[in-house]
Amino acid sequence: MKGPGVAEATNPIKQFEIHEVFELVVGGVNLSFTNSSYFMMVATVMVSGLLALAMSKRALVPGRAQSVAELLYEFVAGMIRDTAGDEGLKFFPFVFTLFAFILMGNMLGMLPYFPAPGFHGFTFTSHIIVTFALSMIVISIVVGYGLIKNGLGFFKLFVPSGVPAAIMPFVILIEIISFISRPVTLCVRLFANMLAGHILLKVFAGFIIMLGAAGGIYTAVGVLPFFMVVALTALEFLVAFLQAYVFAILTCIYLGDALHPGHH
Amino acid sequence: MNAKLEARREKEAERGPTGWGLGLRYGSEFAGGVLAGAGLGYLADWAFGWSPWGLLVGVILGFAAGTLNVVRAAQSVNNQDGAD
Repeated sequence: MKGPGVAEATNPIKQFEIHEVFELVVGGVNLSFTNSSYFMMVATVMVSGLLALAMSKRALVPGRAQSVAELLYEFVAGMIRDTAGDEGLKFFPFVFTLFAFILMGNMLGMLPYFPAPGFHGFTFTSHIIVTFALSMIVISIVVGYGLIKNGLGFFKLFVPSGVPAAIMPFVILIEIISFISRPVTLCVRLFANMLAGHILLKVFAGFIIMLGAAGGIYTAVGVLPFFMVVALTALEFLVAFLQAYVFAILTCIYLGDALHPGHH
Repeated sequence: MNAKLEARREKEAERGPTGWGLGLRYGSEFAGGVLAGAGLGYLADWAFGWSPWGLLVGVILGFAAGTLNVVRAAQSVNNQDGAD
């Protein structure tokens, strides 16, 4: 089996393809329900469903499922307290939703096959438009809340203390660019990690098939990339959790800036 | 129980972030700064017709902002290692 068959089967980019599940065109705009939307919906339903199920007993001494749910709550609450202070807890629902949604999305992406339309696993966080939308929500809330709470005092964020007046405009300009770069880095980091990890995984998995198809001594060598894939899968689970955590903690830090501008 | 938790937290803090994660973090901070600067410069070119000066100055300012981002990220990483 040489030629286009193997190339097609081992194409590492194919997993990121978007398929339409059913078409929906509103006023000339394509709003079709895609496999990406499908996985987002599955993530949302699973997070809400699992949490509701875990908390349904409301036991004083928590069982196993309830312990996990409470652990998750404590984890996010602690994260907000450490970075944005007790005041930041009013953003708990937002940060928790964001964290749970990204975490579930990353974890769903770790399933190689899923009973989804098109029948291939899909990670919606590996598409930059999704992470960009999430980071724009974060930064809109930071700017919006900062302006409402502090008024024009919010712009103190751009004016560092102890800078000579002569280079002040220059420094302010750099601070503004630095602030604008925040949503960019926020979305690029999550997107790049998920994209790179999944491509790497698929490339090494492709080596197994290619070496296996080559036959002879090559088949024996094919065991090596197999071990690599096992190790990488474990690493990817770590990355999937870590990137959700990083996204949430940076959100907390930026929200902390909105709550207390002027000292960082 | 609390003592055990405290001990575990300390161990986790000692382990710190992985090199790969740290590298990607600094890299994205810097690239984000340059991209934002270049974007702003390009926008200024397009809006006020300053071409090519907007993009040129924007990239240089973005470079400065990216460096600032990296310095801040490094500071926060070092503080985490030292304080907790």
